[in-house]
Amino acid sequence: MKEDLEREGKASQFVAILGVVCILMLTFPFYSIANRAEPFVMGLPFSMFWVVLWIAIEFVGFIAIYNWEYKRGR
Amino acid sequence: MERWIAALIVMGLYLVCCLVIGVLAGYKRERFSVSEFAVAHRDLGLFLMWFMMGGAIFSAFAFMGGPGWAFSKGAASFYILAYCALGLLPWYIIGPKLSRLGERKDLTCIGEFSQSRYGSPALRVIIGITATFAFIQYICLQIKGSAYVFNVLTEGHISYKLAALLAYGIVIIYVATGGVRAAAWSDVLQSALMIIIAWGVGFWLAGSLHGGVGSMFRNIAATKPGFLQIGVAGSKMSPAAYSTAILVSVLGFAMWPHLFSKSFVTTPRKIKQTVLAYPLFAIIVLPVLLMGFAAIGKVDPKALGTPDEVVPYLVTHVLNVSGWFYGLIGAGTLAAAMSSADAITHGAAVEFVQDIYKVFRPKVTERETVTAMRIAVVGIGLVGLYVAIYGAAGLIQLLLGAYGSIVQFAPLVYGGLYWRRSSKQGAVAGLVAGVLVNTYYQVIVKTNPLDINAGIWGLLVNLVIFVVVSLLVKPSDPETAEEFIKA
Repeated sequence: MKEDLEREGKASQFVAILGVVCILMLTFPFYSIANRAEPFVMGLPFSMFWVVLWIAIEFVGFIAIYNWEYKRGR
Repeated sequence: MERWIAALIVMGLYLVCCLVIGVLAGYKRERFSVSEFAVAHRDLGLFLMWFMMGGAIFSAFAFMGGPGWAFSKGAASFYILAYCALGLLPWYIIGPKLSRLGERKDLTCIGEFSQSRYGSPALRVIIGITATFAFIQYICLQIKGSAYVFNVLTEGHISYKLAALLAYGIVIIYVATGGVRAAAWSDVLQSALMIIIAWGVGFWLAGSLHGGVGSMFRNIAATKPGFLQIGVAGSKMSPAAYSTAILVSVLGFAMWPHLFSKSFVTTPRKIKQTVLAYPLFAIIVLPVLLMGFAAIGKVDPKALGTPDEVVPYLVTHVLNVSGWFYGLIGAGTLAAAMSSADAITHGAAVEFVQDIYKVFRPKVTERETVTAMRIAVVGIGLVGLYVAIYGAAGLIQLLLGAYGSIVQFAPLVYGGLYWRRSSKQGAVAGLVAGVLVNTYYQVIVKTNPLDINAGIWGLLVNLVIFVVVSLLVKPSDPETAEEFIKA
């Protein structure tokens, strides 16, 4: 039980880092990197594609953290 | 067949399905159990959780306001994608703690959580009142959205008032009978419906009006330079406003009491799975924005009362489509509005009874509590309907102020979970100051210094006062603090 909680605490820290990175990339000043219409990716303007990209990264990050926390049938 | 009749048939069919599913969900459950009515015995599964959280957050704002923003503000609408994707993230961290605390201490809502941590009934009442006002405003937005769409898509044959009553009356019935379980099951239908309609209609509009998503955006970029960017000439939002709007949404999301209290309806592990699956819901918002972008160049902004009306206007004035299509758009919008309205009405009723009613009548029986919650559902529902239909002159600023102030719960919640020195004096003083600052900039002067969101200014003041006051006074009960931090 105690071990589980420690592992959860670690996982929470990873999630917090993931969240901070995503927020930074989606807000200014970092969003300036993507703040333009071109190039168009998958039909979307780059400024929109960037947002979708980071949502995808967030999702993958979540899966990785969750799997780490509950691996080996925990 | 006349268009409005076909539209009415589709929307009517949808409403009947909602009513049946909602009422059946609560059928043969314990009728007078607070635990069942408020938190479904803490046993909802991932399937229900995902649809419920998605449905609750994906409101009339997303279905009407989303296209409206895309149509009128361009890139500023991407903020909706960002906050939908990130808004639930903090819940991965605090949700499991709250869930364990909830089970141990029998908590059902954010006010109870605060009292149990800080031992202050006053704090609980302040939270209860702020939340109730905010909820009424939120409910109102949903009723207005659904009534407008219902009215327009039946070509005025169903009056605005009747439309409001029909759509929201059904929500009141199933929430009053089945509690959170009814809201959750109806959300499955509602969320599924809006996902299908959003994808179908969003891409179809981009394709039929502009020859595809790619060429649509190329056209917009060519004809409206800067419209697909933030903070350049031709764009509609400054970098500071855009960034802080995202930030305040992410911080405030899980503080909404109807979402916060969902920490108590399931297990820690399912909370994590729900958050994990949640970014997918943000991807689902995407085609909703396409609907708004597709209207650019096809709808004259001056023809609209507000940009939110863009999709109904597009459907009725620009496209030559059958009434069945009207009905589908209508049902999708109703689903978006109702899946939020049910969660909020339920949250408001639970909050009102647990945090206001019970403080003044501490010795109520369980049976009376559940009855009070059912009456509160109807009561709050009627207030919402009244304000939506007749307006609320004089009250409207209070409602708006409360609506914007939910994020101000954040310091006392995070402080309560992570900081030993958090005190009730600090929590009360910080919350009151934060709400006042936020309301002042948002509702009274209506301009934000440096273009930074009013909620952020409120939070800064709130946080400073919370910390300083807490360091000055005697710490609250160390055993309780320890229990919350270690949970």
